[in-house]
Amino acid sequence: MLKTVHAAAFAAAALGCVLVAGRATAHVTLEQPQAVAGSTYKAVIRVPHGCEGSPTIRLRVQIPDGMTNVKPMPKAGWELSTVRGKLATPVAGDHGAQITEGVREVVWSGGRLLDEHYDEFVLRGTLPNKPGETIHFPTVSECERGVERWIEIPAAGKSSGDYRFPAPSLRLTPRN
Amino acid sequence: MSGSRTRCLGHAAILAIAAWLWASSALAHAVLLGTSPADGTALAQSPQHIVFAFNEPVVPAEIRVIDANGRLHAGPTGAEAKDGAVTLTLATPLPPGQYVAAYRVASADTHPITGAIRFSVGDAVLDMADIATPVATADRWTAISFIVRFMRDMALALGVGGAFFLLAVAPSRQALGAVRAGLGTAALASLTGAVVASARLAEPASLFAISFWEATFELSAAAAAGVLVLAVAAAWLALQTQSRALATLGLFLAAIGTATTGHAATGGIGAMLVQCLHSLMAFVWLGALVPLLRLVQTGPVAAAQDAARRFSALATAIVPLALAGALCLVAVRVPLELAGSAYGLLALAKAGLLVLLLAIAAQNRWRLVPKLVDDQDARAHFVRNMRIDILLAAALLGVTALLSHTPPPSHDTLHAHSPAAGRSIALVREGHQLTVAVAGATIDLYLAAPDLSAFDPLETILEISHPALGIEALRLPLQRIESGHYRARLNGIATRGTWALRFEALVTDFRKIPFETEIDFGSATQ
Repeated sequence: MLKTVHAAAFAAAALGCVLVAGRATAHVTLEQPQAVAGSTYKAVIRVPHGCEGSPTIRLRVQIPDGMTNVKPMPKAGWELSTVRGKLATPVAGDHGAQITEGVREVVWSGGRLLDEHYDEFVLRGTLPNKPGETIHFPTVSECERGVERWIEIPAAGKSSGDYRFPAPSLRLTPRN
Repeated sequence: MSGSRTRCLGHAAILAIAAWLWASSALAHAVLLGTSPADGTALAQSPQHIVFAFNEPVVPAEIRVIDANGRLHAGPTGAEAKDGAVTLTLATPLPPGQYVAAYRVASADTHPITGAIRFSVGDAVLDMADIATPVATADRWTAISFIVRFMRDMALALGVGGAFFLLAVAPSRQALGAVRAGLGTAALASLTGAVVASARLAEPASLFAISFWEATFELSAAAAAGVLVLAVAAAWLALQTQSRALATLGLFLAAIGTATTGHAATGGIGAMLVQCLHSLMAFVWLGALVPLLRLVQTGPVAAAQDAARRFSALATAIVPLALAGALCLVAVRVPLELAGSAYGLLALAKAGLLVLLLAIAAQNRWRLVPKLVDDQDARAHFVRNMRIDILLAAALLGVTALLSHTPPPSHDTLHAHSPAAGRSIALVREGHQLTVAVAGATIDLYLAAPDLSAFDPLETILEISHPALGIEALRLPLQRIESGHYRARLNGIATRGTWALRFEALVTDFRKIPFETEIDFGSATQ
C-alpha cells in the first residue's frame, strides 16, 4: 500500500519536473533559480527564442529591488548599456554608508537572436539579504517584429508556471 | 530712494518666483477627483474596496459604508490614506442592496471636507430617493471658526504688530494697554482656534473625552496655535524688556503660525513662504494703526509727527511687499474664475479694501503728516483718517477670515468616468481601478490611475474564458472609446452564463497589472 503511494508520488513528481522543464525551455529563465540571500550571484538569463518567428534585437532586464553592485557582462555582437537610477529602498553598503542609487536596468542591443536560436545574457551583483523571498528579473525581449514581455510576477498562492510570460525568478535561500 | 525701489522690486520678484513655484499645487482645499465605485453605479457584486481620490494628501480620513436602513457596514476607521487616495478595504462582501459611502477628511489646512456617493450591489435597483445623503454637520462650527479666526487675526495685528511698532518705531505709553489686551486675546483665540478646528472635523461627543483632545493635538492647527502662543509670549517679553529683537521674533513667529493654518498650508513650502511674508507685512502695517492713533491723540505733537514719518517710511517699504504677496496669493489661486465665485468676489473685496487703505495712507503721508504740527485741522483730519483706517483694517481681516472659510473655485471636477447604464464591477489592483460594465453583448472597461484620473496603459489585453464550455483565454479586440475607456463586443459568441474575465494593463515596460473577475451575462444570449 505504502509502496503504491510512494510510486504515485514519485510519478507525479517526475511528471511535474517534465512539465516544468517543458515550460522552462520556452520561457526566459535564470540558469540558477535559487541562490543564497546576500551573496554575490551570477545571473545567467536564458533566452530560448525571439518573438514568434522574429529575431530578438534588444533585451532589457530590470534589476530587482535590493540587488546592488550590478555589473553586466559584455557580449560579443551586442552593445551593452545600463540605466542607473534611485533605488526604491536604500540598501546598507559595505562601510555603513547607504546606497541610494544603482543600476536599475541592463540593456543589450544591436544583436540578432534568431527565433530558432538560443542565447544567454549574464550579469553579476549582490543579492538582497532576504532569505525565503523570491525576487524577479522582469525581462523585455524586443524583436524586429513585436515584443515579448517576460514580466508577470505570480500573485500570492500562484507560481510562475501559472503564467504565460512569467518574469525570471530567483529564490533566496538562508545562509548555511 | 532709487536704491530702496530696486530693493522693493527685488522683493517682489522673489515673491513672484515663490508663487510660481507653488502654482502647480495651488488648490487650497482638497478636491475630490474621483471615486471607486463611481457615484450612482449599479454593481453586479460587492466591491472589495471603496476609494476616494483627492488632489492632495488628506489626513485623518474616515469612510463609512451605510445601507438603506442606515446600518453601518464598514468604517469609519480602517481607511488607509496614501497620497491623495483614501481606500477602505471591505473585510466582508456587502450583501445585495443600496449603499452610501460617505467620507470625512481633513485638508492639510485642517478644513473638513465631507461628501458621499451612492451605489448598489446585486439586483437592487439604485433608487436615489431611497437613501438619504448624509448632511454635512460642520455648519455651526464653521461660523464659530470664522469668528475665532477673525478675533485671532485682529488681536495678533494689534498685539504682535503693535508691540513691534512700540519698540521699533515709536514708544507710546498710552497704547501699551491696548497692545497688551491684543496679546492676551491673541493667545486665547489661537488656542480656541485649534479646538474649534478639531471640533469641525469630528463633532465632539464631549470636551472631556480623551480621544477628542488626542485628535486635536494631532492637527497642524494645534502646532500652529503653539507657535502663535510663543509669538505672543515673545512680544509680551519684548514689551517687558524693551527688546526690539524679541518683538521682531514675535512678529516672525506670528507670521509662521498664521501661514501654517490658512489655505496656504496646503500649497507647500512656496505658498507658506509667500503667505508668511504677506502676514508679516500685514501685522506690521495694521498693528501700527492703533498705537499711532493713540500717539497723535494724546502724545506730544512733534513726537507723533516724527513717529508718523518713520512709520510712513517703513510702510513704503512694506506695502509693495504686502501687495505683491496678496496678488500672488490671489492670482495663483483663482486664475480664471475670479469674478464668478464667492471666493473671487471676496478676493476682489479684499483688494478693494486694500486700495482704500492705501489711498488714505497716501493722503496721510503726503498731505497731512507734514502739517501735523502746525495745522489743527490737518490733525483732526489725520485722526479721522486713522479711525477709518482701523475700521478698514478690521474689515480687511474680516474678509480675510471669510476667505479662509470659503473654498476656492477648483478647475477640477469629478472625472466624468461613470459607467453607462447596466451592471458593473469595480476592481482595485495595485492602486489602479477598473470598472467593468456589461450591457447586452458589450463590455465597457473604465481604467483609472490611483488618483482616479482616466488612465491609458501602454498595452491592453482582454481575455475571457468559459472553462465549462471549453473556451480558454479568448482574446477580445478592444476599441478605445476615449481616454481610459475601452470597449469589447461579444458579437457572435453565445454569452450565456458566467465567464471569467482577465484584463491586463501594461503600466510601464516592466509592470503589468492583471485584473481578474467573473461576469454574469445572465440567461440572455447574443
